[in-house]
Amino acid sequence: MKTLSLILSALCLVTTLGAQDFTYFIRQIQMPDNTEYDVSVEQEGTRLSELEINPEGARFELWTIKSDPLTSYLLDSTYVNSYIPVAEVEIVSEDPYEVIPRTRCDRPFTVNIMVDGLSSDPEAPEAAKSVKLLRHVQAYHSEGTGKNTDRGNATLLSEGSLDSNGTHTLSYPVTSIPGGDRTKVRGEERFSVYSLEDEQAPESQLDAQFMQVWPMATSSLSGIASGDVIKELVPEVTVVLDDLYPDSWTYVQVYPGSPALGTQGVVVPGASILVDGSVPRDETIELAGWDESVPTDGPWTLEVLTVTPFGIDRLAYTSFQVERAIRVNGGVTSVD
Amino acid sequence: MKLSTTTLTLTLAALLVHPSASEDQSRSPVIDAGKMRDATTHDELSQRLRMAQQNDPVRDAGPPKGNAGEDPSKQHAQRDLIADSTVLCYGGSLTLVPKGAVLHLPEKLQDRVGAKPKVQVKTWREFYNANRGWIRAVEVTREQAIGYAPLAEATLASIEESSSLVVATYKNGPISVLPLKDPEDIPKRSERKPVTYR
Repeated sequence: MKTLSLILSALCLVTTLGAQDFTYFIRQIQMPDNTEYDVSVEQEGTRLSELEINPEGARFELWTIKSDPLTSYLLDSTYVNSYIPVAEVEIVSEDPYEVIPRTRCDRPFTVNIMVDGLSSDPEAPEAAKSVKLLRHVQAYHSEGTGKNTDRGNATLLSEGSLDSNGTHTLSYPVTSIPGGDRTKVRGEERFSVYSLEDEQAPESQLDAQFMQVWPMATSSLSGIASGDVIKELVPEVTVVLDDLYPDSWTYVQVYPGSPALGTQGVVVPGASILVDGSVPRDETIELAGWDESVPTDGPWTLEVLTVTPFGIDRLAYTSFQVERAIRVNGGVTSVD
Repeated sequence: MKLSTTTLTLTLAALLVHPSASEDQSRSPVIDAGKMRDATTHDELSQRLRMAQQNDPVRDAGPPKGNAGEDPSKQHAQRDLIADSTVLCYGGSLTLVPKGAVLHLPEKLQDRVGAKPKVQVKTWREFYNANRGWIRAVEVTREQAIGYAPLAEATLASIEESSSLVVATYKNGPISVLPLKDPEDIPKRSERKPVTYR
């Protein structure tokens, strides 16, 4: 019997989705007849399967079922057999979010593939000496969040093989998810390890991991334009924010002088948004009555910044002139 | 939900900057302004993508073996645990058991098979414990589940006469029971031993 610790460990990752809404099931599918066995599981832990695995092996599937609407999600799947190697896929990004690996479309990531149990016996079948490595990509639609994504439509981008035990590290400078505007790519990268087909079973997944990739945030300002001169009250400014990263803090700041990247100004009161979720968000900030933020005459800069696990990005900026002082052109004369 | 690193950092930053509510609330948080940058452009990312596509570590790992070009992930892409299970539903909750696990369904209980809206999903154990009045679990052997051995005559008779819905279980877990195979199709015991190369 094989332990289910690999599969059960995934349970820890998904419990934060909202434990009251999801129920977990593990199915053991025996090869070659596809007999199905329900392995009752607790929220987390390790246990042995009660059902002895056939010589042809068995596939274990970890599912979570959402109550309303009734929906099933396949979280993980792994094939075990007496001589098939074991594999574990881990995707590491700069975002420490624990539920699902995720990153932004301009950021690098690393994939660690741990393989164990490959045989060095030249007489062993090919399936005992090598595993297949697959990389899939799948774009979401323009506002997609991954919900109801048919992963059967993912594109097989590349395939290779591994024939040595140990940890193999793959480094990527940026995602390859398809998309015309590379700053607005959103979707999934998936890395899978499969056993090779042999007489006992078809090519079967040993492990897989996917990562969600979110677009870069963008911002536009309206109500104020570069070079505007403010003589009385400041104008109402609308700040449109698109695709704020799920873990981000975005704010509008002003500072005296011309635009200079790296300048720390003051946050316009009420002009900040904290996002702590699982998908990007669109927001709009209306700036009104922010006169006190620009108390002196002269050139000023207004900037929109977003802070994410990847650093601080300037999304938009504009400069304007404040001229509140009343100049009287004239003179005082006397008839004396 | 656990606070993420950024959130935590920002909270700490806010505390550092705003030790008391009476101070200026609009001052910028303490951040490393030197690390600010302009957002990466489409052209920059396109260039990075071109470089990445020239050196794909998956391809570089080694030439694909086995059924190269075929995508094995398509095999189970259409699988849906709800559609591929029998749904037992009653009293505001439901559970899923493998198809083929329900050995007997009396006519009067037919409306308890199939999903209904706005119900809570339970594990088999939870659901069975709450519905023992109309569900009966019958333990089967591994050989019986894969169709290599018949159920005992007495068991079959009691199932037929049961007024409860009967679910096949193996060590208390629901299991599908395949139709009994022809004796000629059943491999000998010696042929069913695992092959080990390690």
